[in-house]
Amino acid sequence: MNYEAKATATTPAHVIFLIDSSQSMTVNCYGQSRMVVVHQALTQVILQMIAMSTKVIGGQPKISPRFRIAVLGYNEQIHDPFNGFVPLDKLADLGVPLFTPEGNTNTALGFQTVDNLLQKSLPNLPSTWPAPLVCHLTDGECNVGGPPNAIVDRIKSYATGDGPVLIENIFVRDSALRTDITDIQTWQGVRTPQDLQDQYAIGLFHMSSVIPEPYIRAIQYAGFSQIQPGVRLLFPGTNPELIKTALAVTGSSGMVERPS
Amino acid sequence: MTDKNEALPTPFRTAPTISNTHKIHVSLGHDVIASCFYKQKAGEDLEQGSLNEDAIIWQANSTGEILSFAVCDGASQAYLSYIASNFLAERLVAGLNAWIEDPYTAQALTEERLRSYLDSWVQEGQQLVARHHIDLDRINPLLKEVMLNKQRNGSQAVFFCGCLDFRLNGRSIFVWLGNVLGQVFDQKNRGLLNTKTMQNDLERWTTVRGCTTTPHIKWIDTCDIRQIFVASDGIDPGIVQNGISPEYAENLVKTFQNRSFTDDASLLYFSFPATTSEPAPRPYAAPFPPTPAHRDLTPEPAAGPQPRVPELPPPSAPQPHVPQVLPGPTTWPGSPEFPPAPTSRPLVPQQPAAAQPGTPDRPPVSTWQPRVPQIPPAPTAPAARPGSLEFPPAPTFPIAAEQPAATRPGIPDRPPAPTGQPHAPQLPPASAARPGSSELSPTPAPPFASEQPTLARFGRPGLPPVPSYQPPNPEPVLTPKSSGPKRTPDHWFGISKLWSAPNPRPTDSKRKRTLRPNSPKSMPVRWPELLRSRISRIALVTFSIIVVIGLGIVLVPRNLIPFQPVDTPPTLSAAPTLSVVPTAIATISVVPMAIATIGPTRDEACKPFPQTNLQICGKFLEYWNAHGGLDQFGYPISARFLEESTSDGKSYVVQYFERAVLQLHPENAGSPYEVLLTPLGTYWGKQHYPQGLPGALGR
Repeated sequence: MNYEAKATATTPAHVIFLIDSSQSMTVNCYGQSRMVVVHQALTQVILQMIAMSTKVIGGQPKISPRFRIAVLGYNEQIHDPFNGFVPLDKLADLGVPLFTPEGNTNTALGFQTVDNLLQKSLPNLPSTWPAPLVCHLTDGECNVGGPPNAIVDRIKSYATGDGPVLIENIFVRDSALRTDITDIQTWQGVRTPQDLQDQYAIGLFHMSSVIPEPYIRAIQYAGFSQIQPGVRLLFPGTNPELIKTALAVTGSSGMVERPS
Repeated sequence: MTDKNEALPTPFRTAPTISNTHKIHVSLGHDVIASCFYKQKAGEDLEQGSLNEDAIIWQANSTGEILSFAVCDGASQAYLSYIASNFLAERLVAGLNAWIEDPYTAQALTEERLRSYLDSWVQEGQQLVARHHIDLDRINPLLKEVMLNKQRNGSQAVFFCGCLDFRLNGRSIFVWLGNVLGQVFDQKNRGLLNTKTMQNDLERWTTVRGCTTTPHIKWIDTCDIRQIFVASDGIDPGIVQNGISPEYAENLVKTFQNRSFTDDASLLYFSFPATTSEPAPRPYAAPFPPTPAHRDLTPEPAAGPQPRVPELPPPSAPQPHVPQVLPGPTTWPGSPEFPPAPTSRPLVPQQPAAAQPGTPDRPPVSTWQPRVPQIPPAPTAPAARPGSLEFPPAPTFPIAAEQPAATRPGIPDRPPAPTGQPHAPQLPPASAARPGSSELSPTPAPPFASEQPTLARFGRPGLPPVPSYQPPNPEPVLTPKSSGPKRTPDHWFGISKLWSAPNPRPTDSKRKRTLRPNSPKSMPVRWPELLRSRISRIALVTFSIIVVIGLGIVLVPRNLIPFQPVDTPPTLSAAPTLSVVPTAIATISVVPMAIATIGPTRDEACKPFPQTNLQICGKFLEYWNAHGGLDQFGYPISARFLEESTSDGKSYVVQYFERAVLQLHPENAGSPYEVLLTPLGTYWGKQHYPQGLPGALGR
């Protein structure tokens, strides 16, 4: 229960990317639609995972399946292009999915799908495997399906021997914070609800897990160099760099070793 | 598991091994170092067959008095990081051996200089990486992008390495960059060094840009060291506070073996058994070999199984050579993936494919070769000097050239100062100004008449305004290892003496205090001395080359061509490769390295000193005689030559003595200040106490 299990080919880390693909994701964000920004950030984190898992064997680069990844898009329905978890090397062959934003936001449906996926997978996870991480990326309130809090609490109650399932939220919206982020290098993270002024962001705060201490170093290395223990896995903002870095946090799942 | 050590002589037999763990006793002269070596591939690497990205190498020098080691950890996310780690390990170990063996080079080894050394290896590292072609056209776009990005960032590694100097009163150096744990303990298990608190994940050496930050250096007296513990982060044990026992190291290994892991793990542990409760009178001071040509000159071993370690004479006998021991099936040489060593420096003999059947990335243990560079006798030059793989040997040093080492008498010590005749130097008039010293105004007179001469000669103690002196090369302020009450002129010729004179081994426990010829706090050695030995070697090469001028081209061993500037590190091109070198180019490259000396004029009186084969002439002789002579200044250790002063940018004729540097000021001709002492105290003080000398004004 200490989040120190390392992701290896034999003990892969499970990461679920739950991406809001509702109509609001078409809103322009720094010259591109939010969905495109999210897709680029997602591609970056997948590249990072591949980089961490690739070695040259017999003159050919080979991806070690240290991660098992699920990418779910949700609006009024669920889009699961990989049909659940897919090993990292397989994902590299398939490519990073790009969802078409449309329809309303049914966040509860998205988390319910995650719940189902974990319920199916967790019993088979040995206790020595890294705790799964759910990375939820959204830009606004759910307008159908009701609040997802109960489902999220249930998901957070699941655990492997490494620790309970972790929930990370990336809130693609400006003005959620009382104090804007000027530099992610100096940003100290969201520690209390009082750091937020957006009600939905506060809801996301309560859904988000506290960053496990073993992840701190990796998160700092990812770019949030001032993040300290006690901060929530909540990253509000529309800046592509922030989104990219926040998504990169998922790469610390089971990869608490230093980069050497 | 068969006993891989059957072929080893007794001192090298390993203890019963557990998987990938090796316990080796390395005999260095009269002392025994118990070492525990462990290297383990990451669990998933074992399954996938990828190469170990860690490298552990240690190697004794040719006399067995210097032992270098390196633990390098390839950055797991970097491109072919095993190249950087193994390349660095090879270069660091061989480089440290060569650098530390030469006391002058050792003294010049600053962090900045070391960084420039490491940076200079970038090109070779890139060439090694470039030999590996990876077909990126047949992989998916995501993986291709990752690989291209890795290629751009190059192969990367972090390291902790060291060089243990077991010569009398030797000092050991430890160098590190990045997060490899290195800890050193003394006889009471107190920590002398702990890199854990200084680790920085961003520190690394890359084949693209060299060092990302300046490497760290720590010097420790070898006699204080009892244990050295090095571990890559794959087996991070945390900080060990009170020393490590061999059992602890083994248990650490066993614990690690039961874990699932993704990072390669390396552990290197040395313990030096104490012989007494006192600070041990180790390291030993074994007699130096009588001749310099004792490097292993055997030809390259033929392909095929080789004994791991050549036979050694009994430990009590002089150790002509202690080869490096590289146990373990997981180390890199012989791997088909690792590039063959450059032909110019085949430190690791390449094994033919036939010698490595079955195992894709590791050779059979029986094929291990010692990594000692082997240099065959060069037809155009004498055998290489031990430890110096770059320069030709130094028998052409003026003294040695005139008096062969075998017959040259030792340089006698300076005659004792006459008792009852205190030194009474001739001092300038108290009222006269002291040229060349900007802060010392000639008027008003000093408060005490007796102070004036002292000030005039030695400057004001601790005061900074005296224009600081800079040697010709601003970097190399050298602190020689040699100083002390019994220092002889031979000291200044370092290596020559090491070759020619046995180094007596003190028998009492006080030798550390009484015989301290290698103290770093002693008088500075400056470039001229350093250049002398270099220039002498250069002269030899020049001679060798000139002999064959007219042929157009000549085959010259590459390692004898000093194309590098004097202050570049010895390259490790110990290979006997012959290169076709245009003679003209070689000659031209050599000539500019010499510094012109100024000989005596017809009218000048000179006093020769056969002890150093130098003479003092003219104004310098007058000054030398008038101000204390041999007792005050020591022997001349350089000829006169022009040196640019950093205080005013002008060039002055200077001459170096054991205890002083005299500077000729012709603008003061006719005054008592025609010859001045250089402000060594100011210069040396700034070097050693950049924050200000203790008790000085402003501190």
